[in-house]
Order: sequence, then C-alpha cells, then structure tokens
Amino acid sequence: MGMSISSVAVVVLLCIGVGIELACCIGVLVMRDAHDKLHYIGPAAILGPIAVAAAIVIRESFSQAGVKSIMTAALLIIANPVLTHATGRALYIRRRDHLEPERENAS
Amino acid sequence: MSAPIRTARQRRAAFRRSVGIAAAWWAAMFVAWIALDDTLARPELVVGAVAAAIAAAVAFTVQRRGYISFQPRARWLTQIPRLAWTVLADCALLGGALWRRVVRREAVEGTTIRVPFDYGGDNGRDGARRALVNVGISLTPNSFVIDIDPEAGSLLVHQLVARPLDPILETQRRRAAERGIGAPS
Amino acid sequence: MNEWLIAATVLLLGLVPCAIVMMRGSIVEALVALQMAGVLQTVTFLLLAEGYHRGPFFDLALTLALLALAGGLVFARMLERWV
Repeated sequence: MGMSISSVAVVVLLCIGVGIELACCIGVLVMRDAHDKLHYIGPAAILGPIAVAAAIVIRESFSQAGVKSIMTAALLIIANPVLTHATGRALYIRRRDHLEPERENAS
Repeated sequence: MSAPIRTARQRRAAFRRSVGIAAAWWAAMFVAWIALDDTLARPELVVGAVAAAIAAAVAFTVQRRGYISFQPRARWLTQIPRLAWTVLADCALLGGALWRRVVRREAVEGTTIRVPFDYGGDNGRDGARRALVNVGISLTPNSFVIDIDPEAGSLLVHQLVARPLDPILETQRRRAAERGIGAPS
Repeated sequence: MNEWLIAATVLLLGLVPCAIVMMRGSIVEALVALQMAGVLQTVTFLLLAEGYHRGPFFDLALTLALLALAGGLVFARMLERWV
C-alpha cells in the first residue's frame, strides 16, 4: 500500500479519537443518574480533541490549521471542568433544593 | 478613612507597575490575534494592534477595579504532570465502569463525598487556590466538585467509581487537618 | 472521500445516543446530553475543516467551543433556579 508513517499515525489517532467520543456517548446513554452521565463528558472533552488535534498537527504541522486545532482542543479542555462543576452543582441544587451530601465520607 | 499618602517614589513605582501590566496584557492579546489571523500583512497587524489595545484596556480596568482577584503561586504548576496522569488513570476507570455496565450488566452508581477543605479568606491567593482546586478535581473524569462550603470547611465531591482520594483532594484534606478544619466531632 | 470525512461521518453517529437521552430523559439529563453533543460537534467541525481543507472551518470549531461553554453555563444557571 505504501502508506507513510505519518499517514498511519493520523489514521491511528483518528480511530482513537473517534472511538473515545463514541464510547463516551454510550456512557451518557447507559448511565442511570444525571451526575453519573456527567462524568463521561470528561474523556470526550479531553482525550478525543487531543487525539484529533494531534492528527491535524501531524498532517498540517504548526500552520494556521494546526494552531487553531490546538487552540480548540485547549479551549475544550479548559471549559470542561468549569461546565462540569456548574452543571453538577445545578443538578444537585435542583434535586435537593439545598446543598446536603448523600453520605458523609472523608476517607 | 483617607487614602494613605504615597511618596513620589512610590507613585513612580506604582505607575511603572501599571504600565508593565498593561503592556503585558497588550502583548498577550496581540499574540492571540496573530495566532488566529491567517496573514501577517501590515494592515492586519495594525488592526490587531488596535484591537489588542482595546482588549488590554478592558482587562487592565477590570483588574484595577479588583473585580477578579486571582494570585496563584508559580509552584502550583508542578502539579500539572501528576494531574495529567490522574486524568489518564480516571479515563481507564471510566472505561472499566462502562464495560461493567454495558457488557456485564452490573449497576454502576456514583457517590457523593464530603472532604475537609480550608476555605481560606477573601484574598487573591486563597481565591486562586479554591478556583484551581475546583478545576483540578473537576478536570479528572472520575470526580467533580459540586460545592465548596465555607462554613462547614468542606468540598462536596461526586465520584463515579469510589476510590481513595486523588493527590489534590488528599493534599487539601491534609492542609485542612493541619488547621483543625473538618476534624471529626 | 478521505479519512477525515469518514471520521466525521462516523462521529455523527454519536448524536444518536445524545438525542435518545434528550428525548427520553429528564430535563437535567437532556442538558448533560446537550453538552456532550456540543463537544461532539466541535470535534466534527475540526474533522470537516481538515477533510475539506478549508481554513475558515477551523474558526467555526473554535467559535462553537466558546459558545457551547457560554450556553452550557446559562442553561445550568437556569436549571438551578428558574426552570
């Protein structure tokens, strides 16, 4: 076939990125509780974009495309914990009407 | 209460510091413009310099007004490698949980735990610590912070897979214990 | 058709579970699915931009990432207090 190493690397990274995203979508579907579903946005917002951005950088090097894909991945990674915390807090308040733990455990 | 009287030397030092901060903001905004723009043509650079100046003026004004007080320590950056490792490990945990749920049809339920936490004061250093602890814990996929309780001196954290406290939580728990916060009654 | 467009097409399948949760779950579960869909679409835009070799499409991905953050925070705040 004659695929170069970089082409193989791009395909592998794309498979990893797409696979992680789809697995996380399954996680959002099958987990029972909204808080449990929220955890699966983490890998989707971190590992998936890193894999795809890495594939783009391998193909395009640090051109505009490479730089913007890195910035997009960085933005998703930084935004993820902010959004997760805000959503988790909102869900908890909505469910409980006030903030109380289900079970106190400091171990 | 009247403002403290500053000497001419102190005023000059404060002025130099303000100029430095404004220049740093302008440089950061201009670098962002260049990174996002597709060309280095002169008209684009001129527009970018003006846009960066406007953005820097807004950022500088917000900072001077004290709306956001954020003063992290540089040595906190040393936590990044450990955080990256925890993210990878947590992704494996979530993969295992998904496997148990989908393939083995086992019930997977998260838990909410309360961890002692030193809230600190309303200053830039403690505010930065609270924000970065929140980001650090919520970044790792297996856990996220629901709330930081200043009166109870605790963090409310949700974990999907119950496990011992990760390094950030453990550090904060030890710090709180040293200050006698959240000690079992 | 190149590997980027194939990846983008396969990734669009991830919208199906998100849509199922949005339609059948509670409003809070729908918000979680919406946020997941936002991440999915941002990555899809990156793949499409590279697949079609269109530079401006990368700006779409960057903009969507930013707006998904802002929109998610607004929805979370609304669900906390008003809906």
